[in-house]
Amino acid sequence: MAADSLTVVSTLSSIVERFTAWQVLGALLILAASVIIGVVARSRVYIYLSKRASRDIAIIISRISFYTIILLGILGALAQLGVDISIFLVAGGIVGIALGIASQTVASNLIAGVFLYMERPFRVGDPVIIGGIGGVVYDISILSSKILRWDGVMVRIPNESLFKSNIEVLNKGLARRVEYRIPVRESSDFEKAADIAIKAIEEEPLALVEPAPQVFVDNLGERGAELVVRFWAPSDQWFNAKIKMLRIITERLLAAGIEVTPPKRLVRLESGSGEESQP
Amino acid sequence: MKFGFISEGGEVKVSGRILSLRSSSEGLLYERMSEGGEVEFAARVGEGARVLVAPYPPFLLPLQGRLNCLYVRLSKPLVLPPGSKMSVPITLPYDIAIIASSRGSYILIDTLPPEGMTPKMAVYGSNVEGVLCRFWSTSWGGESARGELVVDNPLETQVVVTRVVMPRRGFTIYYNPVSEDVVASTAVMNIKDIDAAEVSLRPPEWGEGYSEVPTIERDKRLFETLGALLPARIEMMWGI
Repeated sequence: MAADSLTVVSTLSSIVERFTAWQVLGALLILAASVIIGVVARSRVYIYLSKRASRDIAIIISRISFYTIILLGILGALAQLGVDISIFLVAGGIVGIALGIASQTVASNLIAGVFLYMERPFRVGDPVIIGGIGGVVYDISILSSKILRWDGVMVRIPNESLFKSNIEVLNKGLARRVEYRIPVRESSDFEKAADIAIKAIEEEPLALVEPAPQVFVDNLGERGAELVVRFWAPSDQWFNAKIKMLRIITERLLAAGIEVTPPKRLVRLESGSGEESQP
Repeated sequence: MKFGFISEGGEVKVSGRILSLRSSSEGLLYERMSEGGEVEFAARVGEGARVLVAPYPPFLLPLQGRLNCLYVRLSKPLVLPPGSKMSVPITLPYDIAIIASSRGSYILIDTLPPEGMTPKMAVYGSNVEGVLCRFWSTSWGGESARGELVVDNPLETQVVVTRVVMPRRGFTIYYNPVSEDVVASTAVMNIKDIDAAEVSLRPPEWGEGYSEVPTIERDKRLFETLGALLPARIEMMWGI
């Protein structure tokens, strides 16, 4: 036991003898400075980010900056003691590359999450359509976001995919436009049809007076002419207005004798062949 | 008499509907019926509560009290010479509120528009930065409240006023249960520029026999909670 103690003491004394007092003092000063800088940087980063991003993001990034500064301080202190730190850098580089490859997806999601927090294209509770998925934003976290779809199913979208997708935020405007393209026979009384649609819009509380509604005939196609009906409704009432008004306008057009034309298919029977052709 | 308290067992005809209050096996029952007698809405009213039918500031319909301004389109634009002041009578809308009153507290039971009126809305300003308002055109010839618009043009140029946007806060209504006359706040519009103005409201001048419509509990709390977020002045910066 006594022999062990003697060995430890002799080893420590031999290590201490290798460094001068100035080297040790310098290393301690570097460590102390790195701790102070790290603490200050952590609090500053946290304060800055907590005003612009979520608390989770602010905590994670402030901690990463703190430990990075401490690590750099340790490497600096070792260099001050004359220790060759190139081996640490090489090892660190190799570990970094390995970790980078292994966590590429996680990192890209994380970075996309940070940018989403900065850009804030939507907030929790906003109705959105992201890459064809429509619903209400339920949660935005560091790696993924959750959308509660209109049918009640929760969908998790990785932030990277979300960042690359087209995002439609449905409540950014006060009002949204409803548009119908109702096919009517070419021989219809278009003015009468337009009057019917305008009157129905005027009688509907959810259809706004301004921006003003528009009704016009457009695009003579295979189903006849298209009666285009456009009006605006409050964003949160858009769907209610849309389904209600289509029924009302169609019913009134039919009641007024304006024929809503079904899709047409011309089938020609060639004599003798028994085959049908479809132009 | 369509405005005022409905007595137990009594009924009033308002806006093409019959509103009644009667005792039933379920207790006191308020019912709104169509002219054909079909019950459209019913509510049980607790003992001690009275049911009041009154014209109410026009922010209940059509979005259940979520609109905070009234967009009035003037049927005849006002042309104001430089440095002039003009005061014109205008009509203003109201909603018909059925309110349960008990110990100074007022709760909304039911709402309906005056007969023949469709409560409409409009966006004033841009679709993103503007405001969604209840819409009113002074050309409406049906039931409405009497109001006044006072426009002050201190500019050294002429201005034309075609519309006024009024705030929800400060919009008061007085009614005469006997004559059924309804008086609404006076809108004071101070012109700031050729296409900008500031609008505030002041209480109307009403005569004897008029009662002020009580503020329902929900609105009271809304005004208290939102404070300055629901201002008593509106800056019309997207045209007048």
